[in-house]
Amino acid sequence: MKKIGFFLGCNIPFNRPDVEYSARFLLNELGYEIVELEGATCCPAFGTMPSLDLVGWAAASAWNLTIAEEKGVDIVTGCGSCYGSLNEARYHMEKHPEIKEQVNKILAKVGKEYKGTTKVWNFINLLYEDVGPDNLKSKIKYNLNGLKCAVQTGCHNLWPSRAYPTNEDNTFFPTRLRQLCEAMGGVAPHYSTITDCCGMGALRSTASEKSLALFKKKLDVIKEEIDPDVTVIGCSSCLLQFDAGQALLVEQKKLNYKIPALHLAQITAIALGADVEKATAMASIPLNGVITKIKGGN
Amino acid sequence: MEEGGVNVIDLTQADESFVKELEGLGADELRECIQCGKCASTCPMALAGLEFFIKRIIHAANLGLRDILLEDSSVWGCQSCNRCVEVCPMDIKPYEVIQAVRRAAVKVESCPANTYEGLRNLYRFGHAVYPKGYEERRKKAGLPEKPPTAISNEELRKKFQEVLRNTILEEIAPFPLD
Amino acid sequence: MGLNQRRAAYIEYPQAVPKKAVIDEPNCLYFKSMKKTGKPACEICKKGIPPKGIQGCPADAIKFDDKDEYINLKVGAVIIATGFKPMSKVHFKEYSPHCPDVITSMEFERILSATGPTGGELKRPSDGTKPKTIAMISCVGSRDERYHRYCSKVCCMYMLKHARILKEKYPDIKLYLFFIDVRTAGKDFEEFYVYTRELGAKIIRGGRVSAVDVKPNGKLRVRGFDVDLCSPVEVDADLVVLATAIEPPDGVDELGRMFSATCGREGFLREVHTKLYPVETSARGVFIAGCVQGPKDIPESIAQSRAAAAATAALIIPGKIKFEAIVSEVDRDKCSSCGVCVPLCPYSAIRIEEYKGKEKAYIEPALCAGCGVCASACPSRAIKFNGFTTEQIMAQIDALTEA
Repeated sequence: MKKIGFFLGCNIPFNRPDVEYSARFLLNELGYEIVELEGATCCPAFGTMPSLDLVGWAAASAWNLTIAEEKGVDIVTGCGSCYGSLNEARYHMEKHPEIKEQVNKILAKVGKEYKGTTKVWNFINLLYEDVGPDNLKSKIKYNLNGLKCAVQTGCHNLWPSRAYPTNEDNTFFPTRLRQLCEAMGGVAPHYSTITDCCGMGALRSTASEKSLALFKKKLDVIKEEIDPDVTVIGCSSCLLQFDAGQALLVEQKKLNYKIPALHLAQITAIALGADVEKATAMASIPLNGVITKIKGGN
Repeated sequence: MEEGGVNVIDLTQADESFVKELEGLGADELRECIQCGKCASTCPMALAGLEFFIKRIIHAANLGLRDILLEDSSVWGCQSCNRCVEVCPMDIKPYEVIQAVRRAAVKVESCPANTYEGLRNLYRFGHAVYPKGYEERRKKAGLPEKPPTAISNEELRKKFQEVLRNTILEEIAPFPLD
Repeated sequence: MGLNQRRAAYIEYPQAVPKKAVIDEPNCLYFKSMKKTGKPACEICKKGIPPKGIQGCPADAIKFDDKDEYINLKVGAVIIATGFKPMSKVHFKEYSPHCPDVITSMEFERILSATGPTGGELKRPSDGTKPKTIAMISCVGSRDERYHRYCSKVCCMYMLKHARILKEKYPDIKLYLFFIDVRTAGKDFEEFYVYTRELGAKIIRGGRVSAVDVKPNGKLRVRGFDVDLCSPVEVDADLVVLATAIEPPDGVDELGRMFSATCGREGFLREVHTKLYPVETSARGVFIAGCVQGPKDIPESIAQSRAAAAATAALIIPGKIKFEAIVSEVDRDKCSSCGVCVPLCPYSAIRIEEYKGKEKAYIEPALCAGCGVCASACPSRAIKFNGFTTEQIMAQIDALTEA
C-alpha cells in the first residue's frame, strides 16, 4: 500500500467536507494508505502570510511540509491555492538557500527542520500520473455513461509552471482533467475559456459582484459551447464559485440555467462506489440528474 | 485619483524611494517592464473591471505613485493566479510586484479588514478560513467533528503559533499574539 | 504548409537566383524506381511524351547522373550574406500553435503571393474558406527575454504592408493589428502608417496578445490589451498571423568559425564596430552584409551589401595590400612541425606547407593581426613576433628596472 499525506487546507474540511469524504474514499479504493498530517494548518493562504513577507510565508508552508517529511510521505491536496502556496514556497526555498536557512532557524525553535524532500501533488496530477487513466478506468464500479463534463483545472493547478514538479504539456490547453473524465466514461470536450479564472479568491473578497460577473461570463461560454451535464472541478476554491457562487447568481436571478458542479474527487469517488449522500452532502446546485445518469445506467 | 478639480497626476510629486522599497520586498525586476501589455489582457483583475490591474500597477509603481497605489484596494483583489508570470516576455514576474506592494501596504497598516481577519484566524486557529457550523457539516459527510489539523491538536497549534511569532507577523499584527 | 503540391522537378520560387530547375531526388519517380528495380519508371522531363507531342527539355539540360561537386576557389575576400530564418510558431503555447489557422507572417506572405500555394487567393489553411476577420500579432519571440531580446525591426512595417494589401483588395475585410509600439522609422514609412490607418485597419497599441484560444466553431479568440482604450480587448478572428522573430540562419556560428568571424550574443555575425565598421569582421578580408549581421529590411540590406562590395573592391582591386609590420614570422629551419600554432591562431593565418621537403608552419602576413599568441605558444621558439621579440621586451624591462 502506498502511503500518502492528505493535506486538507481550510475550505475542504470546514466548508466542503463532502469533498474530504470523497477524497479519503478514492485514495483508499486506489490503494493508498492515508497518513494524517496532524497539526497541519492553512497552506498559508495568499492573502495572509505571503502578503506579509517571503520568509514568513515560507516558514508557515515549511511547517506543513515538515509534518509530511517527518512521516516520510508526499502530500496530495484538493485545493489549488494550497497546491500553489506550498509548491511556490518550496520552490523559493530551493532557489534561494538563504531563505531556507532563515526558515530553518525559525523551525529549530519548535524542534523541526525543513529538508525539501516532500513532493506536493494535486488530485489531477496524482490520478493522471501516479494512478493513470487506464488503471482508473479498470477500477471504477460505475461508468459515467457519456456524461458531458465541462472541466475546470483551476489557475493555481497550472501556473506558475516553473514551480510545479509536474504539469500539462501545454498549460494553455489543459487535457489531463479531460482525459480523466473520459477514462471514467464521460465526454469532456475543450471549450475556449477553459483556462479563464473562475473569480474565486482574493477577487471575491475584494469585489464580490465583479467576481461573480466574471464567473458568469465563463459559465455562459460553457453553456453556449458545450451545454454540459456537469462541471468537473480540480480545485476546491473554484468549486465554491461553481457551486455556491452559481446558486447565488440563480438566487439573484442573474442566471436562467443551472449546471451542477462536482470536484474531481467527488466524481471519482462516486464512480468508485462511494456513498452518494456523504460524497455530495454540501452541494448547493442539485445533483440528482447527474447521479441518475451515472448510477441509473448500471 | 482626485474627485473634481484638474485630473492630472503630477509625476514630479511621486516618491522615488517607492521603487527601491518594492525591489527590496521581492519585486527585484520591476524596472525591466516594457509595458508591452501581455499580462494585462489575461489578468482577472483587468477582466473583472477593477480600477487597477497588473500592468497599470507596475507602471504606477515604477513612477513612484506610492499614495495612489496604497489607497486603492485593487491590489488586494489579485488572485495570485500567476498567469502574468507565465506569459511575461521580460520574465519580470509581475505577480511579485503585487506581493511587494501588499507588503509595503501592510507596513503602513493599509489593508482591507478581511486581511487582518484572515491573519487573526490563522494565528488563533491555524486556519485563515474558519467558518462557524463546520461540525454539523462534517457530521453530514460522515466525518469526525474536528479535522485532524491544528484545530484538534493544541500542542501542535501552540508550536505553530510560536513559528508565527518568530516571523514578521510579530511586528505587523494589529492584534496581540498570545 | 500543406496548402498545395509541387512536382519533383521544380523551380523553388519565381524570384530564385539562379532561376534554374532542380530535381527533388527522394521524391522523383526516376530515382525511386531506379533504386527499387533498376529500371527507370519516368523520364518525362528529359524525353517528353512524344505520342502526345510534348517535348522534353529543349536545352537537353537534364542529367540524371549529376553528382555533387566540390569546387575549390582561391579568393582574396569573402562576403557572408546568408540571410535569416523566420522563427517557428511552435514555441508559443499560449497562441494555440497546433491550430492550422494560426500561421506565421512568412506563411501569410506566401498565401498572399500570386505565385504562392493558393495562387494569391486568401484562404484559411484549415478549410479553404476566405477569412473575414484577421488578427495580426507583432513581437512574437522578439522583445522577449525568453527568446530574443532584440526587436526584429521589419515586422511593424510588413504588418502594415499586409494590412494595406488586404484592405486595398478586400475593403470589407476586418483587420486588427496588435502592436506593443508601432515602429515605422524610415523613408516614407510614417506616411505609409497613417495611410494604412485611413484604409480602416484597426491598430491596437500597448497590446501584446496574451492568449489565442480555439472556439468550437473554428474561430480564434484573440485577447490583448488596448492601452489607448485602457481596457482588455478581444477579437474573434478567422485567421491569426504571428509576426515571429527574425533569427540567425542555421549553422551560422559554424560558418563564422570557418572564416574566423565571431557571432554576437544574439547569434548574428558580429561586425568590428557598430558605427564605424558595420560590414567588416575581425578577420581581414571577411565581410558581412544583410540579415546575417542583424535584422534589417531590403533598403538597408542593399546599402550594406554595396558597402561590403565596395570594401571588398578596395581591398582586392589594387592588386597589392598594405599590412602592419607588427606580424609574426616562422623561422622554418627551427620549426619542428608540431602544428600547435595552427589551431591557436584566431585569424586562421597559419598553415602547414612544404619547405625543403618537410611540412613546416607558414604565417600569411596579410592575415596576421599581430596578437602574438603563436609566438608565445611555439615550443621550439621558432616564431618571431616582429616588434615584440624577446630581445626587444628584455630591453624594455632593463630600461624600466634601471635604478
